[in-house]
Amino acid sequence: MQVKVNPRYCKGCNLCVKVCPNRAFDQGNELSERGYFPPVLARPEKCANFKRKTRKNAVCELCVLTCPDQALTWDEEGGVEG
Amino acid sequence: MEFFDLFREDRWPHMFCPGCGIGTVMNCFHRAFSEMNMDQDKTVFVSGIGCASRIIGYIRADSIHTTHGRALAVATGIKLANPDLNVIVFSGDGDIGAIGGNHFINAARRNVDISVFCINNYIYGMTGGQASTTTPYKSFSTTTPYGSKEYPFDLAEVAVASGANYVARWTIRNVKELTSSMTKAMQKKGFSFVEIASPCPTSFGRRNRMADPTQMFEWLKIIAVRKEKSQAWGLDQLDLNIEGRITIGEFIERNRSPYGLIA
Amino acid sequence: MRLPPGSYFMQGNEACVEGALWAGLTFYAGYPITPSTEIAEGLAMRMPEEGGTFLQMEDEIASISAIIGASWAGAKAMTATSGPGFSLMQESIGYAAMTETPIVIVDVMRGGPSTGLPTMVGQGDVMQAKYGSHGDYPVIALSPSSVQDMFDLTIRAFNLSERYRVPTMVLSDAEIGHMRGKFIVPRTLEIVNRRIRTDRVWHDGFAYDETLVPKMPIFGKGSRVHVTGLSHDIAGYPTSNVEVHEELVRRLQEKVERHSDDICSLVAHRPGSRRMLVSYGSPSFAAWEAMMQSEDVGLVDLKTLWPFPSKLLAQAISGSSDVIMIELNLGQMFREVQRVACDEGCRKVRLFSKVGGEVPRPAEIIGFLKEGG
Repeated sequence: MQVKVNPRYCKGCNLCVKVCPNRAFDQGNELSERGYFPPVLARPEKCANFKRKTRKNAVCELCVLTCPDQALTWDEEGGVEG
Repeated sequence: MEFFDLFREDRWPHMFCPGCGIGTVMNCFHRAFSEMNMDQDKTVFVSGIGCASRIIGYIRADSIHTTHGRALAVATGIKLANPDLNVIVFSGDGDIGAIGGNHFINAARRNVDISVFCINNYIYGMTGGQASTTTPYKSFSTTTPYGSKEYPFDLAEVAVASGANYVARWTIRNVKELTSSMTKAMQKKGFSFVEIASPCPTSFGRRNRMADPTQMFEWLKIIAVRKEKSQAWGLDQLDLNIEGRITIGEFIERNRSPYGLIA
Repeated sequence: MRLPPGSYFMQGNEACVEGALWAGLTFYAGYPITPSTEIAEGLAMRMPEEGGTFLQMEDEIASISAIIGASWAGAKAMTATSGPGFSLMQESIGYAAMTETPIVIVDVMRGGPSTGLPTMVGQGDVMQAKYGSHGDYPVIALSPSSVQDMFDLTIRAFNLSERYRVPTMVLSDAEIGHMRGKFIVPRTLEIVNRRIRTDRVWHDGFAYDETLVPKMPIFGKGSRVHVTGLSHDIAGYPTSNVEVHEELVRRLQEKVERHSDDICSLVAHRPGSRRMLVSYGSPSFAAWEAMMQSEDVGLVDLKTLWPFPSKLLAQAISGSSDVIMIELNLGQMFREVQRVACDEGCRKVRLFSKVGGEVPRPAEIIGFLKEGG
């Protein structure tokens, strides 16, 4: 699975970019409808949960827990089967 | 429990500024609350005035947004009028350290069974960035344009000294520790207090060369010293406080009987 | 156990304690202040016997905040104080009015301003009771003028606050509070409880019907209500919409005004006499004595101060040509009386005022009556 960025909620603070120990995110440069720059998940394969399938056994989760705007959620279908 | 079972999706996105730590506290609280399997209908949320106090307006539960500083007094009334209710207070540093300081020390002394989560952002954010009782020495704000000349309050130490049963302090960088501390605080009988050092890029950061949320995040890393380390350095916590640094960790866990259960 | 029906000899403050317990008081929070302390002391003794909660808070602000919380948790809650403490409570009185929280505040008035005369009588809080907090908000204020009244009006204050969800005050004074006298506990008493709702109140926690009084969702019953002192819509959620704000503030005010016939009361002796004395609280004793010793003099003893009983007062003083207001301040309720009397076509409205400290003597009032012819 992988993290999904919700552009409706994101306020572009980039804390996820900062907090990820594996540098999975990059700062975005595309303006969202609400006028912010949401980050992009540039390197999903680097995420510690890339090979995990359900939220229940997710580890780390620093980005999801830190995101002040609840814009990051787990997409269980996303990512590559492993 | 999903996030939006506890919070009101229809009011999202919330009103907090980009990079504000309050949203992070909501995440951690949601984790702690859903792990505990607490009855949402038997939980009452209380808050005073300020940014942090607006959390309860987003919660799907009985909640009361009181006058400035009086959240703890109202919470005391609710808990003692109906001891079956779980009472949780969200509060800011203005509510707890300044206008409601008297209620804070007395609620801790009385040891009423309530959990207090104090989001300390070192500034009065809602009114536009005035110095608060926790603004670090020499920091800038709209009312301290030449740098704060006052020493800040150490709220967690005040809670320890006043007799709280559980006291911890974390920054919003320590999401895991914060979540488990919140769980402990809610489980603990008696007055429990968790202080959360939180960034306010809009009001505090902009005047202290940290306008970007990630800069404030870096700042929190620098100022926070783990309790074990600060003890090993041989510095008492007050000295750290004057330097603009804070000690983080769990400060006390004791089991004084809460108010109402003393025979 | 509640005081059994019968006749008793007690202090005014003690009668207030017994009245409150009769009304169903289950939560008291207070801070000691002369001359209201006997109420706290009495309840500290009596509340555990009745299964209620007595709490001594750290100050008056905490006291009123605690009873607001307790009221939302379903308790009938009360606090007692005097002038300086009453001033501290003002912000939260406005909050209670805005959030429609039923609470009872007993204010045993003492001589002011400031610390003033702690052990002596005054009536300087009557305007503060109505206008002390900012903004326009409704309150109900009752004024007992005997020990029996302390018992009766305390119960009535609870009933009115529960029925209309309005902060209700008993504006007693040091003389009434410390006076010992006889009072009777009747066999039956009317006790009103608030109308509550226990359904989910997502969208209409503050919805009202033709009485303008919303049913109250109580914490812990699954209502999930949000209570705020901010201007709120009927869901209880904050809004900055000017129309919603206007509707809310007007409805709150109207809530009390529409029921003023039920709320207002006064006692008129010899209504329609040529000269009418008007008083409330402890000066009523001297006024009654002065009335008995004079000819063609009547007396109106106001039992409700807010909302002001204009209609009842107008009836009582109709046809009088000389109205004398007696009060222990520099004329706070005098303007209200003057307004009503002038509307009734009364040509002379006078104020007999003492600043406080002692109640007027009947002879002083009689002298004042003669002065004016």
